[in-house]
Amino acid sequence: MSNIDNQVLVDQAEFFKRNRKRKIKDFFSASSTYLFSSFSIVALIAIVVFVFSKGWSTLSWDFLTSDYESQLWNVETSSSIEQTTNTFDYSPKEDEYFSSKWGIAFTDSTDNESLAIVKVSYVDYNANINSLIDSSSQDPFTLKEGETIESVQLWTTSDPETASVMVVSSKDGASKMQEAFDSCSYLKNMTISTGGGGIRGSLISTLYVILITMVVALPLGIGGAIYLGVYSDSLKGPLKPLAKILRNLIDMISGIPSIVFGLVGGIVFLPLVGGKGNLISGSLTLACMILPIIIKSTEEAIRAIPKNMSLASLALGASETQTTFKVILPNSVPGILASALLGIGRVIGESAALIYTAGTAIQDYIIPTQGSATLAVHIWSLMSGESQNYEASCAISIVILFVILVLNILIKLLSLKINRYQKGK
Amino acid sequence: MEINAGIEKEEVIEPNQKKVFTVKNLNLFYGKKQALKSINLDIYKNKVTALIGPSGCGKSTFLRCLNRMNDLIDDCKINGELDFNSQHVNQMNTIYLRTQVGMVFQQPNPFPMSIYDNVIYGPRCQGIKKKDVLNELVEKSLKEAALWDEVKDRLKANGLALSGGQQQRLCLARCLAMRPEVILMDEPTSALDPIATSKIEGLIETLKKNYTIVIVTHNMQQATRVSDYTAFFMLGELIEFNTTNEFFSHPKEKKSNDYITGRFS
Amino acid sequence: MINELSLVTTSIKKAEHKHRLDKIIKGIFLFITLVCASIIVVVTVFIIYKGVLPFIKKYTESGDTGTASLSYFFSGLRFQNGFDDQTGKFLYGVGYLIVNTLFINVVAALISVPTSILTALFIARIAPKPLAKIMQAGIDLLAAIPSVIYGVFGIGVIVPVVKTIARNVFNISSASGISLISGALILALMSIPTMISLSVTSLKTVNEEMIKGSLALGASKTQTNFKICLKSAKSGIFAGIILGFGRALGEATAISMVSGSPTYGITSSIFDPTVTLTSQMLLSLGEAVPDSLNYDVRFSAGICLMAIIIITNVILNDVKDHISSVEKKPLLITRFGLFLKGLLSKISSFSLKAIANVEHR
Repeated sequence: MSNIDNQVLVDQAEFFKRNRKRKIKDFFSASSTYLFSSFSIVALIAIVVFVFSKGWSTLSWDFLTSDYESQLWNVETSSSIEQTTNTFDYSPKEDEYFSSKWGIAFTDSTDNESLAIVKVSYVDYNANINSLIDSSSQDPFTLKEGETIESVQLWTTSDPETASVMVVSSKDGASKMQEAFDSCSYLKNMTISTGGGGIRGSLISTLYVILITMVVALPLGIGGAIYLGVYSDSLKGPLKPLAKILRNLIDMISGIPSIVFGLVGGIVFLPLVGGKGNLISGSLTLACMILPIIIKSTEEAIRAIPKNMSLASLALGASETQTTFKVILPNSVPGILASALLGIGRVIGESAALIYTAGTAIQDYIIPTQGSATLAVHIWSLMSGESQNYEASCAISIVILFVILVLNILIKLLSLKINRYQKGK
Repeated sequence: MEINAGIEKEEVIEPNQKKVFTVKNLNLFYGKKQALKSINLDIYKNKVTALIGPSGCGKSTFLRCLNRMNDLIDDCKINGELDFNSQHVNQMNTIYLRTQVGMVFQQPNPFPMSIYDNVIYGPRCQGIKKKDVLNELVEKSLKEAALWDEVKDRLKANGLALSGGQQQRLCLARCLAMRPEVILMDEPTSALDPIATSKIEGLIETLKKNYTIVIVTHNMQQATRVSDYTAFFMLGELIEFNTTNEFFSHPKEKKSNDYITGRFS
Repeated sequence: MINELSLVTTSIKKAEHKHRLDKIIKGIFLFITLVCASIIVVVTVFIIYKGVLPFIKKYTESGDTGTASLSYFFSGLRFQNGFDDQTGKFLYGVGYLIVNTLFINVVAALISVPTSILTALFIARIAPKPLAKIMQAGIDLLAAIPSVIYGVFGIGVIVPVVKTIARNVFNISSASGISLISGALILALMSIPTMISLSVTSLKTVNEEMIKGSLALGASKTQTNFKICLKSAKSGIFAGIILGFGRALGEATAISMVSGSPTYGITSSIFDPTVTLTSQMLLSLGEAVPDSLNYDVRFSAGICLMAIIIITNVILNDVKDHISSVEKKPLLITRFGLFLKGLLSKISSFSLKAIANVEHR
């Protein structure tokens, strides 16, 4: 088959024939990259779209600031207030239903779990319904706007012999409630609720955890980074491999799964603060977990500082300590900030370790020595029960994703500052 | 200048020499900067043409025009006439042109594969799959590149495991496996030691029987040793083109004389 | 003159003072670093201590006293199987969990590895620069999303999709979507950003001369991308895969939300619910009382998890060195195999000699 002696390998005609085949092969190869790339990006978009679509409507100032536990009152009217004559004047807005007999306007709304409820949107100043009594404590109770009427028992007259009873609840809707009120003249009792489903407690828990974790992890991390970045190069002789060993040991921390940290954190830190899950133990566990992140970022920022600066400082007669604190630390502030932000990002999203050490109870009033759910753990407990609350979970996810997005942008801006020495200030 | 009398060289440009490349009024711009100015040059078949000149004179840029490697550079504009075997180069299929015009680079750049795979990379890309054809190609190309005896027992070894000179010969073999008509060489020996250099120069001598060679070199002695024709570039212009003998013994331009006598390099 | 002398002595004293301070401060920083480095030692010690305890110490649970059975631990198909009166041991098994963990992670890798390699190639070499920048930012964002949110997405979107596909395409009418494949998809999604980041870095730093060489030989851009760039970036791509795989092995929250919690057996079908080492460790945590056997045996499961992570890391890193080295470093497995072969041949020759001696008599 020595037809390849001195001729060309492929003549022009054969080339174009082969070229067509090659083009087809190339097309399939290239399209496969397009295909798989779009899979990744579609997934990202799907996550964001899903989270936003389900959670946006639930997200509100109320949601962020109200208690998780809703407050419930059972109230009744004080000594037979019968509503017979007074007609109240009020021009109801579009979605309001006004009972002119009682002077209350009702409106349809949804709670934090997207269930239909009826809220009080207007109470006339003179309405008798204002003088209600709390059934259990006998204290006076004033009906306020924004409160939800869970259910109400109304009688047509105050005489139990002749009255017919109407029971209306929240899920019957505002219109029916208004009709019932207008057709009855005696209010037997009412169940009022307010709030519920809010995440204020979890927000505060998260902030506590971030604070305590950073207070513990930053000094340790910065200290470690300073040693590895500044002092460890000058190790001599038999101690020389020490730096590499220390660095490897610290790197290995990032290979441990978070759930293992949770287990160990449980037996190391929980006994320190009482023995049951609490925020302080959780924070200490998280501090251990984010140390490698802080040390790595800070050491990188320290090493980005040109050696000439520290050499100049030493040449001027400053001690090593003075150089570290007056030259190196101030110049690595962007790096320290970036590492702190990276750490915060990790803390916000952490769930497995905190489930073990800080518990999953959603609290409204936070004490660091007691267990409480952070935002991520809150989502976990909402979703792992019998019924899943998509709306609230997605709303919390929006909050978390927003914070992570902001952190990410800040970190990218900071890393430009860290690398300013490469390009020249 | 010592002219090696043992090797036969062109004395004069014969009028009926077949031209592989004809270049008329070639201009090249990198953005606003003009790197080649009105180049007029012919490359003759089965001869070695050397492109010499001080650094930055445009010889490598011109070389890259011949196999359209300048297309890879952003913002590079070319105008003028450049023909390969009477076909306009900018109207040809680029890949086809590159199968006919091969290139050896300054830094040896074997692929991270076995020696065998390195040599038949080009043919494989063209869809040639038959084992016996490929095997024959490998043996022939490695023999032409004077590498066969050294590697025939370890064709499966990684190409990067060879020495610098061997790697460059491997790149040459890889080029030869495509059976091109022209071989372009961009300072092929500047990264090699003297022994490897002389091996490659010896190869050029034997290869020109079957191939046309264009070699860029900053080493004048190398030009005198291996080439039949010499083109002297300076600051993007072609100052003088002549047979190597004539150029070095009787340079026509003052600038050529200055360069040869070492006034600038 | 006396004044100048005292100036000099004070400044020497000051210098010595500074020097001593330097040493103290350096010592403090070293101490801090040692504390940081000791974390991993502490974690390892505690996990091993607590994890081995169930097999050594006698526990008393609801009337029965004994240790945990080691054989059942590795072979058992149920996490909590009560007390075996015959052997006097508690039966806690994680054998099936190990199989499930490997199963789900292999499936996840089958999805994530091709996706991340091809996406990385696209970002690094094929996409136009502005698109590549946007995609890289998107991938970085994906990497920062916490696992709970992946879990929410999994339950909300992936599980119903899997349910529909299982019912309509595969005719598995009992599928609820909570399954191994849902978990594998989520794991893949979580490990893809890590793998992509390292692969992109690797692909971007391929030697430009090699690419030029390939194009000069008449290869097309796509051919160059696939044949040269991928080959050249092998070791970086593989490192990314190893890192992503390690992260997926340790994932707990998202898996437990999406794959369910069956209490028995090795999962055989990808559409069945599954429980892994990690999700079992999270399950029914509320009822676990510290220092009880149920609690401590989770540490034993933790040891298994760490062992699996370390072993896969070692094996995969060995493979990475093998495929990316120029001289083809031999795999640990082949070296181990050769060692065994040598051992066996020594034993057989020895026993042959012994038999010959006996016969001789």
